[in-house]
Order: sequence, then structure tokens, then C-alpha cells
Amino acid sequence: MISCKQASEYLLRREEGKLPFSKRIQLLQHMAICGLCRLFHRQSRLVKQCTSQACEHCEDQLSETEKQQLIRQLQQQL
Amino acid sequence: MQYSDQLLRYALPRVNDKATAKDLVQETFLAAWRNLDQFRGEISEKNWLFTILKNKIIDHFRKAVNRLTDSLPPATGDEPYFDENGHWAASGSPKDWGAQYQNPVETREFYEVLGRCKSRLKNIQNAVFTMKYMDGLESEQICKELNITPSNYWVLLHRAKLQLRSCLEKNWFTEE
Repeated sequence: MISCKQASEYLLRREEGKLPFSKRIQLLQHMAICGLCRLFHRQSRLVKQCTSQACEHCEDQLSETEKQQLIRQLQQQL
Repeated sequence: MQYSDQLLRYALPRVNDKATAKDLVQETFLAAWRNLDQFRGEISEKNWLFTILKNKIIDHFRKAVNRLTDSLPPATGDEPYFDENGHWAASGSPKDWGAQYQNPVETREFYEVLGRCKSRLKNIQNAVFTMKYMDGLESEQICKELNITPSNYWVLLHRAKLQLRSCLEKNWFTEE
């Protein structure tokens, strides 16, 4: 039986379709009996989802001062 | 300049540091200005600026990776996720996130916490994690762009994922 550490590594590779068949079976066997790894898997999925949406929630902007500074620096390049 | 905020909002969640993001936006405008003759209007101004920015971000990530030799430094061990048998260690094992997990996380506060957690990743871990999960690149592309081995890639991604999940758990999902 593979360990939880191995399972967490296998999960990553499986995501990209890069886990060989025999290891996929080992992973399934482990996940069937290990609640913590199932929890980890669900939580990882949520983290991935949120990460990909992070940009939509970014509200930062340059202040007017910073924009003016940027323009001045561009003009100096002329 | 009308795109400066959009460019910033693209860069910041990726590089996790406002000063760095601002520098990259500035460099983007400078590069665009210097290479104006190469802009033939085949794509929009906006797409052109974003193309330059994306390349600048990859360059930024490459610099972080350049200090790597063939083998990665060992995990810092400040967060032992697994015991010597490879089982989840008590301190590092996933906890129940309860009802929080069921609700979609849409709040600004959550994304601020996510940003802070992401900023705690080592630069090389952040590079790999960002390119995969924010830019949707495949492992081969990431390895090629950053000039790392596949084995480095898996180790970095694994560590990044463990750390980020753990940080979010401590700072958001299981906070009182």
C-alpha cells in the first residue's frame, strides 16, 4: 500500500494524465481507505479553483501619482 | 496608460508583490515604447501589451529559478506534513473545513488571504504553481520555459500545493 505522501504526489501526476496505470490502481486503493487523503484531494481542488479565479478578484490599481511617474519615466526615454 | 491597471491586476496575483508587479508594468510600457516600430497593428494594443507583460513575468520567474542547480534544496522542514513513514503528521494533516468548504469563496478578504499565502511560497515554487494553475500551462512547457527537469517540476509543485493548502487552512478555513 502506498503512503499518504506518495498518494499526494500521485494525485498531482494523475491531474496531468501522467500517472502510469499500475500507480493509478495503487492510488485508487489508497484513496478508498484513507479519509485524510480524500480530504486533501477535495481541498486541493478548491485551492486550484480559487487560484485560477484570483485575477478576477484583484482590485489593485496604480495611483494617479504612480501613473504620472510612469509617464515621466517613459518621456525620459525619448 | 489606460491599460496600466489591467496590467497590474494581471501581474500582481502572479508575482505576489506589488512593487515587483509595478516594475513589470513599467518595464512593459518601456519595452512597448522602444519597440513601437515592431507593432504592426496586427493585434490590438492591449493584446500586444499583455504579450510583453507575460514574457516579462516569465523572465522574472526564470531569474528565480536560475539559482537552482540540478538538485533542489531540501524542503525547509518548518512544516513537516508527513512522518517518516509517509503518513500525514498530526501537525500537517488536513483538517475538516466544515461548512466553509461548501460555500463558494467569493469574498475580497479570502483573496487577500490567498494572496498572502501565495506570497509565502518560495519564488521557484510560486513560479511553477502560477504557470500551471493560473496560466494553465502543461508541465513540458513549464519545464522548457524555466529550464528545469521534470523531476524538479513535480517536487516544486508538490511542495507548493502542500504549503498553500496548509496556509489557507490555518488562516481562513479553520479560523475561529
